Amino acid sequence: MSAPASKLAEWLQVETAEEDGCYRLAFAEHHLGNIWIRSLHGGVSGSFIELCAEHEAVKTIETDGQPPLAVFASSSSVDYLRVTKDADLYARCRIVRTSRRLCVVDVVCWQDDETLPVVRGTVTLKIER
Amino acid sequence: MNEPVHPAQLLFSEKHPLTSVFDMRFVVPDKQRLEIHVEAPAAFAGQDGERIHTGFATLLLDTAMGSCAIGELKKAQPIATVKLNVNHLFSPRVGEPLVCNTVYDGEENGIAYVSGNIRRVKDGRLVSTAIGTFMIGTATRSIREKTG
Repeated sequence: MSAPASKLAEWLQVETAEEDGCYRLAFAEHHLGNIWIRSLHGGVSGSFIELCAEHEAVKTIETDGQPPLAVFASSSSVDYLRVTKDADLYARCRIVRTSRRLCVVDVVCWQDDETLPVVRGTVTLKIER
Repeated sequence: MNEPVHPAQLLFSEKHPLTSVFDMRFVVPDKQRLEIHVEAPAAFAGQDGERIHTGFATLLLDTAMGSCAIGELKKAQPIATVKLNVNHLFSPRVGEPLVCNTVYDGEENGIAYVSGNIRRVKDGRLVSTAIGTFMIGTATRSIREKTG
């Protein structure tokens, strides 16, 4: 396993999972939003989704040809499907479309069971070549 | 005389783990609005280490819009983010002072609607804009009860 390299990725404790297109956020106390029910902060899940989408897009574009100069989220839309708990969060990314300047990525997140997703999101990324 | 404490300040006190990474200063300009002032924290830098990753804006907007919604509750109860739409326009540098402005747009059927944005303090440049939707009173059964 390796981690997407940035301070944010360190803070989120994100690493790439063995399965292609999958990522893991290792739970830490600072990821909590509601400290009484010990659920993950919605912004933590949202950030995780943006980071995973970015990393997945870079990986795909590099595979297809010249690495981009930069890839960053231009917008994201996140749906919170279930109340999370204080445990690791996993993400599976699917590239919907890559053009010269944009990439759209769908990301679905779960905790223990992939059939019970807790958060999903679509991220539009700007590509600078 | 001391300024009144916003209800969300009790949640995001020094005991909340998020505040170990960045200090938030709450300002309530008037009813239905909340401002949070922060310095762009180094812990949220992107790959170049100089500019803040968009994920920080997402985290801050969710915190601020949720706090704004908490401030409008008629009685104390938990809330949960249902949907978050964020547009990222500009990445500020680490250490730059930022202000997150939020407006409570209304509540219908137990769902609160809040809009917000982040601007760089020195010139007002827009960093991100967002709309957040929050369920008032969270589900009694979390994923924990379904999967252990």
